[in-house]
Amino acid sequence: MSRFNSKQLVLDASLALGSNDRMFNPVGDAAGERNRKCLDAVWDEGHVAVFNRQLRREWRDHASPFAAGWLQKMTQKSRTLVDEGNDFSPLLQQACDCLPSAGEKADLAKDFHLVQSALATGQLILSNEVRFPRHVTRACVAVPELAQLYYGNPAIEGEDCRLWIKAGADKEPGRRIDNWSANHQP
Amino acid sequence: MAVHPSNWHLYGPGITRIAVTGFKSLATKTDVEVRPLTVLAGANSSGKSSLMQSLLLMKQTFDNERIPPGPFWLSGELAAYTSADQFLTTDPRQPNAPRRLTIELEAEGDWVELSFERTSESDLAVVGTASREAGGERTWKLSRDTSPEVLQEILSSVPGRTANEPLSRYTELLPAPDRCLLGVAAKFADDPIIPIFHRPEVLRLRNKVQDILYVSGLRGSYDREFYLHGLPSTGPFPGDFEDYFPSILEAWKNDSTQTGQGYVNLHTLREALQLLELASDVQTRNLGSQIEVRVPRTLKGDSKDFVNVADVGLAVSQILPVLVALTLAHPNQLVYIEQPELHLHPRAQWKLAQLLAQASNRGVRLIIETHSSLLLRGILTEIAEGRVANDKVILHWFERDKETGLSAVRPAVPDPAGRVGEWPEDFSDVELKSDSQYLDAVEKKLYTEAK
Repeated sequence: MSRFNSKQLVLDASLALGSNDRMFNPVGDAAGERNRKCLDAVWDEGHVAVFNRQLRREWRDHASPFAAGWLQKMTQKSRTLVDEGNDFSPLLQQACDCLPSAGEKADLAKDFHLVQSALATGQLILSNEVRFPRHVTRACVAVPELAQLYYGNPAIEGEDCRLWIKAGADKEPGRRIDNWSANHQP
Repeated sequence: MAVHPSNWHLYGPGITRIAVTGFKSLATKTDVEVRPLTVLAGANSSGKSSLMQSLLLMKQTFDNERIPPGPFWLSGELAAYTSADQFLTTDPRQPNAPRRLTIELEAEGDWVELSFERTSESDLAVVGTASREAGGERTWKLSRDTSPEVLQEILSSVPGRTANEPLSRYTELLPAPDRCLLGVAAKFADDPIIPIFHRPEVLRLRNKVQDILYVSGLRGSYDREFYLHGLPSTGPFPGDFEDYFPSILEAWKNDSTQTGQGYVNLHTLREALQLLELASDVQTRNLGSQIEVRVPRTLKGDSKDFVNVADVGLAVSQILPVLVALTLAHPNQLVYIEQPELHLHPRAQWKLAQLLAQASNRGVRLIIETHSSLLLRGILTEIAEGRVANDKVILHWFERDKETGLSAVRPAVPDPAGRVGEWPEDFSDVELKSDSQYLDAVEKKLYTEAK
């Protein structure tokens, strides 16, 4: 396990839920396997998982048995970090103002805790969400700090999130959240 | 047995450090700090047992009243060798280097180092004893060529000797082996009895080693009856502790002392068995020279339906010696348990950590050798939930070099949240890999079948 290139990553609870398996959860699919492989890669490469209270609560409520075991082992190895980040509530309002619909505003607000913790740590977010990075990208106009975020989505086939994590989860231009959104248009 | 920490000194200092050099795979000095709850872990044949075997070899030697031909009783219940060759390290990097063994022990400041090596007369001989008393400044070094003046100084320093027996009455002082210790032999005129004297810290550590309660990993007898021992139920207990637990249970049952400590201990033991969901009670039946251990057939514990312990699951007979040792041990006593989790259901392995934490909180010094990630997790949970202080726990991970076969040990003290950081334990890795491999295989199978 390499340690020298360890990164701090915010792992959305969608990975905890998504890393399901057919033994325990019959909705297991290829995306689930990719999620699991990503968690494996985070473990193998000695990366650190960043949490905040809300994210931890979501993990507790949604984690698959595999993800729960993974989190226990990460915690035992002191490879979890709790960082609430700075209070971005004023920025959230500005960011939401950039979005046209109430639904989009609600989507962004729902996951804004990921943004707070990521900006305070390694600026890296892994999530199965597709709309969230688009919302963040649109909000970059009003809140330029958001463009510091880098993104990976293990649920998308061909993303090679696992390889990216194995290679050190570096801040590659293509993974900057605005570029990522541009490359993953609906 | 609740003894306030301020009274632990009544039981003498507890062993706080063990360092061994030259025993089996422990080629270089393997220095292990001992805290109230010390966990030894590592792959098979990584050197965990070797560290403790050197101590057990000493205990076996002190336990035996007969004088061994060399420094140790090589073949006994705790360790069985026919020659020192079998445990002295051969370092493949230095195959021609002299084979030496050093054992260091520390007990809250008292320090003793015993040195052994091959001599022209013997395949192993004790060649040195060095010691320093807690708070003392001087290190007393005794070897085979120590001068008579130094021998006289050592003898003079032994409390009580000069007052009772003037040194002038001895005609000759010699360094002399006394089992695995080197002491000062004092010849007196034509008296055929030659007493051997030791520094008090050496004797204290000798007693600490003899006082070890050892619960072996090879336990769980299928016997229906056990030999009834006449030893006091407080010890010392020569050999494997497992032999004594039925007699101790019987003594607790018959306790007629005012304090009723036996009843308290039996109550504690019952609670422990209930916690592990193994049995609700335990009884003994005296059959004369033999004794029978009985437990209720059901967990509910019908008082009329007790059966021989051999007639219930093996877990009960496996864990009883462990639980009796944990209950009986006095503060600062070293209890060494190999694989306490043997034959236990995962839930019981996990809960066993609570009992280990309780014993360590009483001041007992536990050394646990384990392969159970659940037990380890249980201990870390006890820390995180505040039932045992993190600084009472230390973990030692043993690794063996694939090329040389020699061992190395990596310690870790958990933080107050029960996390151990980058301690190289591989339980978690093995579990995650096995989970992943299993799920990969299941999913592959299901996808293939679906197509």
